[in-house]
Amino acid sequence: MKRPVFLALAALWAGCAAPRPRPAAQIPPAAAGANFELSSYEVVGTPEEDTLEYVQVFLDGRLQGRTEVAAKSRPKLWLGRISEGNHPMRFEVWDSTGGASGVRRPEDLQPRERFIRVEPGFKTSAVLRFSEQGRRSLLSITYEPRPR
Amino acid sequence: MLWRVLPILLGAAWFWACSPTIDEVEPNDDMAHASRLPANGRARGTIGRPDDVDWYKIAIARDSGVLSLHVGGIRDVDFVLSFRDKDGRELKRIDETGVGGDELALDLGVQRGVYYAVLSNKNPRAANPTQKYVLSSKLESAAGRELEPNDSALTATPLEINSLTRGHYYPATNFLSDPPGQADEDWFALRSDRPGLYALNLDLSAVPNVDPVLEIYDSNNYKLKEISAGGVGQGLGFRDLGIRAPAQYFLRLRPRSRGMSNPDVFYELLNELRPYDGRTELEPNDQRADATPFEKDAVTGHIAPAADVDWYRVNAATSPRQILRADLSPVPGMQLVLTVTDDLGQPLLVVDNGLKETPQVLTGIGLSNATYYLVVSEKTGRAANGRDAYTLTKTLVPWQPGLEWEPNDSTATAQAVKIGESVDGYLAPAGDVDYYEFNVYQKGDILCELTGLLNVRWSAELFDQDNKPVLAQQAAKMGESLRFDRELAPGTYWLKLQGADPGQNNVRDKYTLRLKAR
Repeated sequence: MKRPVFLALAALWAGCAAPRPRPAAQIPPAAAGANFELSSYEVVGTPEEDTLEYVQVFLDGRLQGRTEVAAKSRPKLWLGRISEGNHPMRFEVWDSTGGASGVRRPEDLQPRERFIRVEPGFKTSAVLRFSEQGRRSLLSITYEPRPR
Repeated sequence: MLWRVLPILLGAAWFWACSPTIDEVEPNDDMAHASRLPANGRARGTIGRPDDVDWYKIAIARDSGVLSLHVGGIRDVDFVLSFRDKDGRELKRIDETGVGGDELALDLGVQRGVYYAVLSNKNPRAANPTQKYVLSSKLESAAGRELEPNDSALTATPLEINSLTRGHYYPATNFLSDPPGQADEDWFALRSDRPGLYALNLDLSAVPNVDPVLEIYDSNNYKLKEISAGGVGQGLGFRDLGIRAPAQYFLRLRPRSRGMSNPDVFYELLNELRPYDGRTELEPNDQRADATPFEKDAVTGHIAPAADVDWYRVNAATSPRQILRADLSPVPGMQLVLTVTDDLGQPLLVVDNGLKETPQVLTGIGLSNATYYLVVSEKTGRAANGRDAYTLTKTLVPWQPGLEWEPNDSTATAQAVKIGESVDGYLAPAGDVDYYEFNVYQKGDILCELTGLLNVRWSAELFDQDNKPVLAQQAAKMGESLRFDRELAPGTYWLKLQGADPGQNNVRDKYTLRLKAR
């Protein structure tokens, strides 16, 4: 009699302890007249490493949106409208092979938060490049005049 | 002194005097009519006309041996001494002297059976039909001796493992080579059948008048190493050739140039094969693909020959973030350089304090989940030292927050630090630059404190996120701490730390960087 109870408890515990994909984040729709573009991709060594991922965009600690889900090596875009000024921005990488909602990569593999300036009359483009199996990330920012 | 060598001289004279002597029986101009020459004996004959050829048949009555032949020179005659097998195939030809000179064949490897010694004359005007020459032969044990002809890998003399082998840089010229007339060379085969990983050491004695070159080949005839003595009359040594048995390797020994020879003094080649214990380098480890696994805490190696480069593989794949520290001991007469590379062999950090005969210290580099390489080299590429080993030691410690994470030599690799935190790091090796990146979320006064370092006069520069310089500060003198503050607007900043002079560094002491908001 005790055995089924034990097994049920063990199954319950295992279910709680196992890492579960987080639920899909609420993604605000991309604003019209975007003045910010993120393009993220990863350098992979083999086709087997070229699994699915996406990147979430945080501004001042708040989720703004995310890129599409695509293979690591493919540039993934997010377009948004951001208020002008200097903002701390964070790009969070999620592995999505296991499901669309994905699994957040460990903290030490996440790009660090950086301030990015959004200038009036300019489109800000951020390119995020991952390499060395995601251990290294390089963020480059460029500006181009935006027709009003 | 004389009384010591006199018995030996007398014994030798007695031996030669008492060895059987026969006279040639003409005609002995071909193999079918060869005269008999005892394996330990002498023959007397004449060169009746310039094109006279005298054949001698030597019967070997033991399983193996080393035969030497000597003919004393006579007036007008320029001897050529040829050694042939039972079928008359020429194995060795000796023609080292001119008219009236002796000829000497050494280290001829023989087995039970029949061989031939053939004497001929090269001087077309020779006219000395009456003077007798003496051709003598001597048979010795083959143990520990080179066995001529061993002029190619195919005819290499087998080496007994862990033993001494003797031979001669003689003759100077190989008339049977292709093309003829090349310098004589001696090949040896080293075979290890017991499976395992071994380290092979070689020592070659010095011989007057000869500058030796030793080459090592694998069974595919790929040259693995070439070692030069670096001068006439010098010996050479080589340590820690990696042998993955079962395997066969070949050694090619030759003088640097053709004129060098010495029939009087043996060279002695000592080989030592021992199971690999992980404490030494395994040559050849001159490139990434051949790197020696660096699994223990320390490994020893040699920079030999000149321009030798030693690669070691450090596997840090088991832990996400570790700090590798390494020490490279000095070697007399050398300025060693230690380089850290990534898994593709791209240099990450070069440790070179610019001084001869001093240790090189890698104070720390961050490794994460991958394979890395440590590369030891000599700066000039011209120095070699086969006697004195360097020792390379390493430690791998888990990284902790608050420790510097090298490489952080650029804004792209800057280490993140938060306001209110501190970091301990090294300004080393020479030329080191450390970048730190921090965010200011609220406008305020940011204080930067940097502890003093012996031998370093601090220079600090602050850049904003657009890479524009915000401020630059320098300590008053070496060893002094640095402290400055500045009101900063919200943004991302980079702090660049370095010595006022690129040569300033400190491998012994850590600095502490602290950032505070006021």
